[in-house]
Amino acid sequence: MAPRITRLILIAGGVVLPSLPQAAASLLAPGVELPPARRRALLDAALACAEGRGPLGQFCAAAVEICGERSETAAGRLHERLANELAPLDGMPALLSDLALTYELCLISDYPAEWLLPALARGGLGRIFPASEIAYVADLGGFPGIFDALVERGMIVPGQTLWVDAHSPRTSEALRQGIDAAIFEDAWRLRRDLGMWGLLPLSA
Amino acid sequence: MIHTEKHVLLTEGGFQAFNVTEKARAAVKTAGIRDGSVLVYYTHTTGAVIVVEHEAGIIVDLEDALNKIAPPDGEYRHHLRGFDFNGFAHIGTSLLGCSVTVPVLDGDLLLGTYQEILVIDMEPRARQRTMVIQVSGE
Repeated sequence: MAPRITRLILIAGGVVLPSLPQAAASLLAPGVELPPARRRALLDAALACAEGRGPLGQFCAAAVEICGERSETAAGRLHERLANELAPLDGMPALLSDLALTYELCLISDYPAEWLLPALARGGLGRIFPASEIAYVADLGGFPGIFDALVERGMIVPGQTLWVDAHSPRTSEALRQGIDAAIFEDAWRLRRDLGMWGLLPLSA
Repeated sequence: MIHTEKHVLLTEGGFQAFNVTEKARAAVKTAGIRDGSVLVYYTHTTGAVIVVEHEAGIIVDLEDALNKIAPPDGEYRHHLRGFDFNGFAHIGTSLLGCSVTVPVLDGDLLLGTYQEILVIDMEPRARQRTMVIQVSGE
């Protein structure tokens, strides 16, 4: 019998790459836990960036200020470092390579292409996610309407597509819309979960 | 010895799950105990702590089950004050409980293969929340 799930659709930030707020904070204030109000401000700035509300420079300027700096140089440096240093999460390149042997993989990016594509290339994921298999949150109008947009584009086929996301309100929304979903914690747990879906060997 | 940590969680409003297992595991390592227990406690009345498999279907099923018992759009005497309108979330928290205790053995959490410690926040409004992890043992 052919497997029901033939396609996995993954959110870039938090599943394939660190989330944008995590990435920016780790570059600007490594090893420091930001106070809650600043964490919230960084989340808000990253959401605006993901949804295409303002240029990338605006996010970088906001992020450096939130993390305690105020200079155009620092903002420019963050821009460059996001383009040059972002790396896939531990274990994900190997897991995605295994999945790509059998399943169609698509990426929904909450990162702009300028930062996403070099990171995928560095992690050896450029071949797994060609441009035709990447959609950007900024072009899709944000959540929760994004699910309808993806179904309309044929990127999500309910019943055949598994939505993989680190954010539980979104996996719940996907399930409510009839789209199968898995929560991402880390590559090891996702591999185990996919084994339970019958998509990978359970012993892997 | 007793080691206590406070962690801040930022919620978005609505039913939201946070896996805090690794935070609890890290607190045990920091405490340096081999045997004892770890308490995970949520200092709020519209959020809970549970041990469950962290699987997308379970989370939405749990939300649906709680919504059947205490519908978000139901009528609650709690709302009579006109101060807030989160009666359903208080009921959910009361049913689930605001803490769990997990044994620690040989320096690690004694959790089953699929058991994870989750904070479930049900407050309709975005909030800054505090979770306490207290490790006791030797």
